[in-house]
Amino acid sequence: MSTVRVDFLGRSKELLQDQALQSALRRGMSRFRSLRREVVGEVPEWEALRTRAREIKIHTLKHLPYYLRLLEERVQAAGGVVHWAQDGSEAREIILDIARRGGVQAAIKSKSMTTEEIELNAFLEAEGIRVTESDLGEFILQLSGDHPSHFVVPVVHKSKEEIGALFREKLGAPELREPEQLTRFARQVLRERFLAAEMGISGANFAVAQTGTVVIVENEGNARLVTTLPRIHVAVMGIEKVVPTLEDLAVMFRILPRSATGQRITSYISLITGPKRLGERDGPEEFHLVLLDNGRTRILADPEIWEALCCIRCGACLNICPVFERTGGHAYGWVYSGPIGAVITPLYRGLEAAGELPFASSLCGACAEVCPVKIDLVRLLLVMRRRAVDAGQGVGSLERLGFALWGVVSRSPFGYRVLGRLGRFALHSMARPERSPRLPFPFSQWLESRDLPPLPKRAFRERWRRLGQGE
Amino acid sequence: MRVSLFVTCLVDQIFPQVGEATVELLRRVGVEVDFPEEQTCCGQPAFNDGFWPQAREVARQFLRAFSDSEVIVSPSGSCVAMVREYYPLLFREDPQLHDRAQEIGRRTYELSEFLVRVLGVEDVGASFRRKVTYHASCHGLRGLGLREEPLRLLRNVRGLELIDLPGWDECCGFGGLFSVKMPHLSSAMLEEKIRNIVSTGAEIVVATDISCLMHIAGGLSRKRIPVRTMHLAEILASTAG
Amino acid sequence: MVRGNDRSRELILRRIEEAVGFSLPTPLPAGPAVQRDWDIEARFIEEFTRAGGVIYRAGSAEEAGKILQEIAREVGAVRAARWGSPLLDLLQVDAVLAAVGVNIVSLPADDRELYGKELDSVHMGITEAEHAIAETGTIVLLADPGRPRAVSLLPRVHVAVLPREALLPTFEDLFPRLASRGIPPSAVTFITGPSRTADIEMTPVMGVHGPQAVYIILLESSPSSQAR
Repeated sequence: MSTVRVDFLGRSKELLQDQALQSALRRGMSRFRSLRREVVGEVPEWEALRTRAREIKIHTLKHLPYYLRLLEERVQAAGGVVHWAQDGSEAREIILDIARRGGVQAAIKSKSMTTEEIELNAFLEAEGIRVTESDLGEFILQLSGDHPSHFVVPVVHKSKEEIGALFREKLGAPELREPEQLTRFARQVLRERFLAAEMGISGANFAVAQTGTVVIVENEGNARLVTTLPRIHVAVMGIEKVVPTLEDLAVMFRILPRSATGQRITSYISLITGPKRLGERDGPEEFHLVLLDNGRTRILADPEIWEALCCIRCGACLNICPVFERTGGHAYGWVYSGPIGAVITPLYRGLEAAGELPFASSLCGACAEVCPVKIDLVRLLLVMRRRAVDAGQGVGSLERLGFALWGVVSRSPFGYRVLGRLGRFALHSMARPERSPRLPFPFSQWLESRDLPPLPKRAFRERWRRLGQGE
Repeated sequence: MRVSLFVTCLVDQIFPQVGEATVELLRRVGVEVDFPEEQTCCGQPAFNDGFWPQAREVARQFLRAFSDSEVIVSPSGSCVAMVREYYPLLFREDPQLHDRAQEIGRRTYELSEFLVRVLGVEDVGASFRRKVTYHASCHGLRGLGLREEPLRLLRNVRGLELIDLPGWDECCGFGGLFSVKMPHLSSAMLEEKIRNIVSTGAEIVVATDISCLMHIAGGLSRKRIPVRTMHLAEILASTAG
Repeated sequence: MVRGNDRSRELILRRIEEAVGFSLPTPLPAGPAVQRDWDIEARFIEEFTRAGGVIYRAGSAEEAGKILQEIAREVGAVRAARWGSPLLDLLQVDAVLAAVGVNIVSLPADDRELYGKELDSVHMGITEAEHAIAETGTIVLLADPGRPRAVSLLPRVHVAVLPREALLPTFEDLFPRLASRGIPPSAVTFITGPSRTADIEMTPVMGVHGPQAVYIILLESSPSSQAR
């Protein structure tokens, strides 16, 4: 597993102080939320759609061997090639091999979280293949050497001034300040790259088993270019993204754009089945589908948390999360952030690296409410917390000791009463209003921004007893 | 009708007046109340922090303490959500306890839920002449689906001016130990909640969960803002002019 | 492709089967019913316009020609590319555009790079739309030898001729038709308005990598049914 440790506490403290980031996140996330509310409000059958979407996902996962084999057969029947990658390293080698055989010197990519998960770009670059990100946000990140802070709007954390400066520095752009000018400039630069690339690399939002069709949902048009102009197209996709039939896509088209960007539908959706056919002027000559495991089969074999594989990567849980809104994706330390990231990052990268993440939540449950495939994110966070504790992660020794004692004491009415009296007494003596109150760590953290409540002389149960039957 | 009061450890130890208001209120609407003295805590603090064995120990005591109760009523959405939603999960490996937990969960209610959905009462004969704004505690709202019930009860309180709270359904930032494990985020969320409260001009902020109110009150007090916090039971029990 | 990848394939499939077993699925029962109780033409026009597209109605092939000329003038087109499709032939697109000084380029067949550069230098791409979804204001383009994908993608402006009969209410109405074809076309492209992004400060910008403007000429009646 990973040797990198997530430091959510430290990073989030820094990011909370970053005023520019805070305004950007506030603006971005609240906009997404209000757009989503509007378009979801238009759909009276929204709850039925969520249920259906989840049903489709669960059904597919339960029959995954069948559907993956069917997908493979149909892709091959259409003239495509299917590769199976057990992990990121294998996936990278497969893609490199395809590139070498194709004499590829330059590749162009559309947005794909999966390719970030396997750290593809750095690998290909090290092998002498130039990789250009064509999604505007990802292109900007590539120039800045930065990481995405949100999987739908990856540069929500950057201001237009920063981006203008970046374009001047890295691309020799003139003084440009407005989003429209910056976008036009990027379009021009990227056009050259689109026309020159021999290989296009994309992700896939879905793959339809029945027809061997890979589905890409986008607004910019860059994924269309990536899958149309270069001679070779490689689509990289997690094995959990398959859906049974074309009809199932209809449901997904209803819920994904609304949940992700508050759109009724995106500007483009491409359904790609194999390479170009004989006589077609454009489209790739070679189509490769790389099916990625990289830990997904391990999650699938884990009945307590496998529903996390239903995720369609819409980002709705990020947009609604009060914690994410105040930290952004960088605090989570990996490509998947927000509530879903807090669950799957420790699953993919290990509890030692990321056991802190499930605790980065107040468990408010807003995420589960908006998830279009009804993933019970609160339950998953709770389960991951338990696993973290069992693995010695995410909790300090004081907590362990504290709960061990608390458990023993609170299970008996007598012990509980004694603990209650002692606790109130201790609080009372430590935190009298006349003195400056002090509490032991971690309770001292409470006092940084909050006062303690006034303490009663007697507990409810003592008053009940005294008053007979409480009259 | 007779119910058993599940007072919850926080109300019991720190906010007993909420327990007393709950009893008074229930009696006023014709419900007899008993108090199983063997009850301790529902186990949520440990459960939420990932300490499930310890939570189980305490939860077992809950099942014992309330084994004779027909109906259990509690002034806490989060504790009821713990019993109803999470006890089956907590006891998933013990079929007997699991079934008992499921069964007991079916007869455990949060106060406003009990009044409106079980008794069918929306007017409890309360009067309280103040400007009040309502914060929806997360567990009650999303865990128990309490969207309307507390509001319906508040709207029938004579003299009460109910002002809508912007971001009424947004988390106050307490989250149990989250408040001290991620205090910077907890405080940032609290700041926003307080800003919203102040913007309403209300004198009182009310909720169904004392944990939220303790958190909010802590922040209001620190900032010397004169808005008070009251539990729903306290307002509903009030017959003062 | 049979290679060393076979081993990975076996291992992955085995792990999946250990996790969920292997069983043949029974197809899911039908999903929730979808609303269709609106006027499809009106709805299509509303949605497509809302998405930033421009739509003109044409009652005849001649009218369609005039509209096409008007669009060409408006966008300052000098060079255009088009699909080789019977409908566009019938509308006499080449002649109609030549009359306003727009040259239809023929696209190089064997040189991918040249093809791309040529099409990129064209101002206007003209296609048909074989289907359209009224609910979302979406047109559906199917690829084949006479209907290249990039004609609706590289030029700055895309014009699509949409016969009214091609309108369908929802995606649920389209997919069974696609499925009944057997192997779908190499590309089925759903287009709803111009290309866009909001990546920079969440500010919407139209016209990123795909066309900046999309026009639809909605043919109210089939041109082949008119005397010419």
